[in-house]
Amino acid sequence: MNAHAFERHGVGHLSASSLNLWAAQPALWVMERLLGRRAPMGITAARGKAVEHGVHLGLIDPAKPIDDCAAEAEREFNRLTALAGDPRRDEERLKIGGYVRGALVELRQYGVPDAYQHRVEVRLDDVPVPVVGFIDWRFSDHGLIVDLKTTERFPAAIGDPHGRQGAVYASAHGNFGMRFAYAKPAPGKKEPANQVRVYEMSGDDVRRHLSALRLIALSLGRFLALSNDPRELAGVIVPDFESFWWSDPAARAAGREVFGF
Amino acid sequence: MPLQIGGSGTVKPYVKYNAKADKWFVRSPEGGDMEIARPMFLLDLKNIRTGWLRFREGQAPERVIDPSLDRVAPSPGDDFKRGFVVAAFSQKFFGGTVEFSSASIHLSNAVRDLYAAFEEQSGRPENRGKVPVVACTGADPMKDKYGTNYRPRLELAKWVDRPAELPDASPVDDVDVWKGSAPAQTAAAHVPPPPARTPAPDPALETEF
Repeated sequence: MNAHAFERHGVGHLSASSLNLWAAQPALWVMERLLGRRAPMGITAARGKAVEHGVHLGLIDPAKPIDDCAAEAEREFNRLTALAGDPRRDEERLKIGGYVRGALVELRQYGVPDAYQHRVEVRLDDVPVPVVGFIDWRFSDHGLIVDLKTTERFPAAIGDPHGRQGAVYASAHGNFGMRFAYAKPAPGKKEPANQVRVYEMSGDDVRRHLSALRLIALSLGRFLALSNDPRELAGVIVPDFESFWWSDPAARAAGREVFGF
Repeated sequence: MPLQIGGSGTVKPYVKYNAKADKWFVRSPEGGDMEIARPMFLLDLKNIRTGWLRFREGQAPERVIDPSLDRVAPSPGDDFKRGFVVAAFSQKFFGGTVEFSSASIHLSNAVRDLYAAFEEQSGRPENRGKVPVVACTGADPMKDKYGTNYRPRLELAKWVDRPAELPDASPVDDVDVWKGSAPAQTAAAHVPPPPARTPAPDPALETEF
């Protein structure tokens, strides 16, 4: 593939989240990544960042009281959402501590991680730019990478978007195991009342998702090769504003400006 | 050749029944729900599809449709419930043809009984090629572990010729139908934490014999 297609649009690297967005809502990808009209961080993303912050503090300092970690996470959430107009902000803030407590009870059993937010980079065949990512935690003693996800309900399995993300992390770490820890704000009512479920990807999962990432990246490259003009590219795709990807009012407003309706 | 990317920009109109509140809603022209009175409508039970549905707030609905009414798709996992998807038509109540789907147990039971009546009556010579008109005549409170929910009373009122607005076609997209040859997603199992690592013994402290 011609590297110029990415270069001329200033795309020096890709990421699993970027490719997931391209696969799900190409119009939003164009608006954010080509036209620079980034939607503000959503309340769910802020929740995830804040909880991760609190859990990390508790992992690197096993003696740190969990309540202190929860308080730090709430502060981080307040900071991240200081300008957010999302009406769910107060409701989500109340749950932050619960997520942190549940996740720490589970993840402290893994020991102290030796890497956090570590940058990884993989190359996909025929894709001229690298795919980069940042792992949550690496536990080299156990040969494991763990990524934390906050959720209201446990998924039945690792979904494709998360699987693609995990495939990048795992393939950059040789034979490390890749696990996703799904944390809820409170234990469920079912027995056993788990608050965290941890799923591990198989080698087949990693290969399958890497293959999908490669095809998605190639599709993106072909699209970018159609024109040097981002606005012209925006003109050949149509947003689906009913999709939850466009749930943020600011994103929809920007979308209306870009796509004209 | 058109690019196979991007959204369609359109949303299927729908009618839905809130079993918790005993209320009917359609999609308003501005988006969002608009309450309507108990409707009377044509229901394309001939083409009804069943399957696994999952509705989560703020997220797109997910569905895995059975290959046929007598062949159930494997459950995609937690939180998916058995439900149905069917096309309905009423110019007066819905403004045209809409999708009617639900995973509510009480509504599904009402539709299951309605379908049994449909099967029984559809073979009659006078009903061949026709579509049933369904009337919602009320609702019965049903107490269960989730509190009081409502089961709508749905009755086959009469049979009419199929209008052009209600095509004799499947109400679901083929991509939503479970393909038997494709591997079904199986529920993953929780992986326990790894056992704690004990530090390797200091060779200098090992007993030598």
